[in-house]
Amino acid sequence: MNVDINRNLYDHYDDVKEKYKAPEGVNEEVIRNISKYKNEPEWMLEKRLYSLKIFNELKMPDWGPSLEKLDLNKITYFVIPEAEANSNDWEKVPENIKKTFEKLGIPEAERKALAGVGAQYDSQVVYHNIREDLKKKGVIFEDMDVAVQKYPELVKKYFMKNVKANLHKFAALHGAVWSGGTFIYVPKNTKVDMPLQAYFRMNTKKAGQFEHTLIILDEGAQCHYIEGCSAPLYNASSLHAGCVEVYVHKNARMRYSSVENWSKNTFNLNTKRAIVEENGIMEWVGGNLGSGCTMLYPTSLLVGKNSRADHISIAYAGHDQNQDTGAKVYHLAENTSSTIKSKSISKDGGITAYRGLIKIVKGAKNSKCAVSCDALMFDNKSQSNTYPSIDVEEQESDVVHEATVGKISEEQIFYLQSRGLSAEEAVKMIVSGFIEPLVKELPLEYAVEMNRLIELEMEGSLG
Amino acid sequence: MNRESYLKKFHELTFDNIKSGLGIITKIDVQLDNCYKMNGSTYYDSNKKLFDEEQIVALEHEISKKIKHILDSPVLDNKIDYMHAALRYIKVLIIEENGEYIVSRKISGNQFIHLIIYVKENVDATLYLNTKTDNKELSFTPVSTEFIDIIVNNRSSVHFIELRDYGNKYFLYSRKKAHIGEYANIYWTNIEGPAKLNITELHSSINGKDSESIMNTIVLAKNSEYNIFTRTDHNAMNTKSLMHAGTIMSDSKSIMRGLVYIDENARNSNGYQKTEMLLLDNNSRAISIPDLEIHNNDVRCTHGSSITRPDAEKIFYIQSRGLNQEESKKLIIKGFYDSLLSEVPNGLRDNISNEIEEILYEKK
Repeated sequence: MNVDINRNLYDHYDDVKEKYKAPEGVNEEVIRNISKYKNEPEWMLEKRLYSLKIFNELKMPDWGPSLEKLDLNKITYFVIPEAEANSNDWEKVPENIKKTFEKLGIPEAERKALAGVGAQYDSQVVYHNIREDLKKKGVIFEDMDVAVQKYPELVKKYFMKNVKANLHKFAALHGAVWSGGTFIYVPKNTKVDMPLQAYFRMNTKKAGQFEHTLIILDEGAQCHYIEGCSAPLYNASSLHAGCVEVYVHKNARMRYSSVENWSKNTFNLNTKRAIVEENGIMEWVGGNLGSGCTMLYPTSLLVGKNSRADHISIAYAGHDQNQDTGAKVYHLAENTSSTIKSKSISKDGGITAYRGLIKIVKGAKNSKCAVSCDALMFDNKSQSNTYPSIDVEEQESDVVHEATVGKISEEQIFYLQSRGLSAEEAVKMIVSGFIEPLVKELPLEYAVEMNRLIELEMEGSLG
Repeated sequence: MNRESYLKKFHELTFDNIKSGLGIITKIDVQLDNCYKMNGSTYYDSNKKLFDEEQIVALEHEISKKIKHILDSPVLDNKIDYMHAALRYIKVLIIEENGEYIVSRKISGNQFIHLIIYVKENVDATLYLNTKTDNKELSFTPVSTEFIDIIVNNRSSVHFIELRDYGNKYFLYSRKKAHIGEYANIYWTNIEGPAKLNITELHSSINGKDSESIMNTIVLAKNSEYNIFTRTDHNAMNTKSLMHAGTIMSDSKSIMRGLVYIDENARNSNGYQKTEMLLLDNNSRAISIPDLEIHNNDVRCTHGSSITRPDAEKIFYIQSRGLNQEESKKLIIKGFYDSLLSEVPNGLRDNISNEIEEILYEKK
């Protein structure tokens, strides 16, 4: 199988000088330095140090994929590239960083279809822009570091209140060393009609990226945010432990889409959580293609009545990849509903797993949840696992779960061949059909990219 | 290891709660440390060929070898497994001819039973195991460990039905495992009556090609706590399995975990798993964890799981046909468990259906 073609774009590393690079490992000194470098207020430093304390107390997870190869003491936790922070003029971004993002199609995307764009390189956001009219309406789309300085009250109120440091070890680590990311605030009854986008790029060897994305939708607001991620290929492992916090207030509607395509030696241990209030709607759309090991379970807390959460995700695991993904939904109020659609493809010894939790507490009357997982397997070296947990305390609720695992049937291929396609084209077509429910939820250019990526990964896979 | 060393290990270990998945645990607050000193007794009212442990050596070499192998490699996951291995009281049943075998037991006090059922080649048999307690008032929580191994040899077919009614005072810890050879079939029907706490693993291991396992499980959860783990391993090609578990719950907590495992070598296998939980009141907690682990692509594996209540529309429809609400509900519940008795041979089915009804409605 020829994987070089498609990965080239992402796996190349740029020879960009870094302005500042913290020593390997994490300790109080590193954290004080990060905070000092960013000129942060005292309360943020305190939060970081508190998280560090919890990080040192917590144990590594004893379930899921093996994290043995991840040496937390060999990771560089903070790297600043030689570029002006938060430029809103594309011309000011240094040439080689610009080249990378241009290769990845960021400025083009902005011109075409987006209301705002951010681009983060290692630990720093290098470019940020938002449409003028949205700015006037009071929509805030900022680098997280800037938001701490400019909107301390808002940040203080929401920052790591949903994803708390004691949630798990990597949330604590994130709380201690977080840097960059996106801050979005959409005021009451405001609708952002075009998607906002951010692109995260990790370039330094053995580095970690810990961007913090905080999204607040005030009552009746609507927004769509897209995230793309990649990193170059080195011999040593790197770590991505980002965090996404979403607050969907009354009657608001949020859609969060991400395509994560980290290089294959990245550990992607990400935390994503949304709190949804009355009549609110939260939609998670996610694709996990790259990274050697992913542990990612977007979570929705349905705290208000009539709230809803929809999760759609796809995972692709090729050689040496372990994609442990899933979804968690807590039904904590009446008339809440959720759907989870998970698709996975495993091939060449890759491992995919769906790991999920549905919890309906007592009193969450008339709650409904439907989960469906489908897995495609290409050979008998690969593995496909499903670990759903459903926990129901309320009688007046309905939960259904279904899953299927199998290969592409010979009959389907034979039928398409009879219509004039080659066997390989037939497989591609069936795979496209398999991932369609996800792809059609993505904006056009992402959908095209996703399809192309999977098609390329599939090349020569029949047999 | 011998009994003394198992017992020593039992005393050394501390007790861990049983983990079933993301933050889902079963706590065990039963006093175990002295329970082995208060051994109870079991009465078998069948004169079928039940052998004791000492008689195993006198059996045919092939049979005693297989039985010895199982006894010499016990599952030792936790403290209770060690206790069982130290204290187990072994009985062996050899099935050589086609026919129906019924074993009834009455249990009193603490029990540590290990039953081994050996089904020879080319046998088509039905085995019905009925376990009850003598219902004596006890000052302590009685403990019963009940392990059953069923060896189904090549080209044999077994219908295995077990109905256990321990009453809701017992702590029951149980492992049942079927070892299935080539071209062999097993049709299980496990009916788990109430218990204070019931931790059971039902395991079908399909080791020979072209074999089939169908496992139906009915859990009658009334003021009880359960942790039931049903699993089927496909270790050979062209194998088929179906696991269907139904739980009827009131005032209970129930964890139903299922696993279909398909090995790399199990080409052309087919697995289906279905878990249904019916909540009769609002004081219950139902947890369903239907897992799949697939290591081969030439398979078809699916599962479905649902947690529901008796459908109000169905009740209304039945009422419109002249039944009262209570009767309508009973009819829906009967439909729920009768569908799980499909693998019980005709002659026994009505009997068992009646016993289930008795457990559900008549005893307090």
